[in-house]
Amino acid sequence: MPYTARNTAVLDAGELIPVAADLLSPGELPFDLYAQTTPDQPPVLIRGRTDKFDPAELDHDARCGLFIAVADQADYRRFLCREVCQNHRVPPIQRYRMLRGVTRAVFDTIFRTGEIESMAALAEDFGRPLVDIVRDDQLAMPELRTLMGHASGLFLHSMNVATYCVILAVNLGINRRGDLEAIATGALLHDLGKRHIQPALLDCPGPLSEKQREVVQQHPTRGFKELFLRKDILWGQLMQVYQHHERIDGQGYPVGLEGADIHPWAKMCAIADIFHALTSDRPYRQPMSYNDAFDYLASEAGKLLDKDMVECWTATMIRSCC
Amino acid sequence: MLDGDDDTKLLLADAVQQLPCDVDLPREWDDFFHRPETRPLWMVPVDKRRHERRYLRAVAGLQYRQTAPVLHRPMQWLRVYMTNLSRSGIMFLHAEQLFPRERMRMVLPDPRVREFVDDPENSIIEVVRCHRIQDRCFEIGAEFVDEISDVDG
Repeated sequence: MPYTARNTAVLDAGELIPVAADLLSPGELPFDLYAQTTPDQPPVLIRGRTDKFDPAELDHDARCGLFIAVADQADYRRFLCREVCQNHRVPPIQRYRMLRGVTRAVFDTIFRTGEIESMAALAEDFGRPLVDIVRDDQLAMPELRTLMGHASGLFLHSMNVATYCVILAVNLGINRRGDLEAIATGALLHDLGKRHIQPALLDCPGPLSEKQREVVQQHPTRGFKELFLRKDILWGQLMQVYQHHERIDGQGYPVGLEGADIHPWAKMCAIADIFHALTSDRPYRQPMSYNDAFDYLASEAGKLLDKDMVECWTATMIRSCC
Repeated sequence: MLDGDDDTKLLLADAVQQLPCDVDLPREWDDFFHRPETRPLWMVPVDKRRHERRYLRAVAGLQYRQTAPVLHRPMQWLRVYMTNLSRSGIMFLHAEQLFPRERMRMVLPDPRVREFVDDPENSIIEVVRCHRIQDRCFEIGAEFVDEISDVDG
């Protein structure tokens, strides 16, 4: 029997967000579910959070879409993480695609408001599934590479840098789950400071003026200052944000530290950051091939980037993708 | 005869001079305290100073007061080298890297600072920027703030 509207309770359009029916598994859902049957009628509540749900019974009631309340967004995200992203019966590439979709909403909120509910929750909802996916024997790296594509933009860049960081960390021999999840989460936030920079400046197609460059180079410090007083952040994560533009030879910013004084997690982040920048679309140039990017990294090993980590990264990617 | 205030200031200056200091100045700065007042040794790229800045080279006392919860700083007093200051901020050389938003207490015994600083024996500063000169020599830019918050590292 198809669901019918349980009541005429409606929310304003701005209070609802669409969800995909095929992501909802049978059982109890931890959020209210709204359905829209015709475009000219607002969505109505069809199922409360304590009701059992069977997607097979949706039928025509939801032909114009399913929705949840904005207030239930966090519960919805955790549901997806638990049921899909961390469901090992789902192929890892599909889980990665889903994780990317789920994380985008979280990322957009963080970068718009600067507010992070809790680092632990972020590690659980993002870091943990990402680590599981990367360590899944069924993951085909060429397939992941295709999915990651060449797209840039702040979210995709941060997502891809986090993915690369976890891959590099695993291949460097870091195997403590907590460390890997923290590295993933810190990498996702490494460009947090860019939320204070005009998008037009970040996407500037031509060379930056000296003043523009000074503004952009403030982003590690600005991101660091937003996170500094948090009690739930690790020092390595703070350094991923603050030090990812430091150089082994001391010519980086914001401090000008040399190799030994740069946190290892920041060094990993630097390699992932540069590799993704080289191999993704930019307003001012085409993406580099992987081989050309490997050559560039090799030329900068020991100067800009950690030599051992560059060698590990290159070997990993050649073995996995090429 | 020195009055009590002068005695206190002398004692303070002497006490600061006795504080531990691991700053390793570059060799070419061996005459650090004898240089005439000139441009700063390293210019910050974005200068947002609102007040006149005076280049003053003198010792100062520093005590960590507020830092990141994950970063543990000892409460001891240390000696640092002031390079310049204004009514809104100060630059000094320290042996360790300091991080933006860290807060410290400073004691500035040099009488020349009184033109700029209301309470040179008990100033609170917040780190704005840090630049590495060499091992054990960092140039710190900080601004004077009103108080230390309840958050303590």
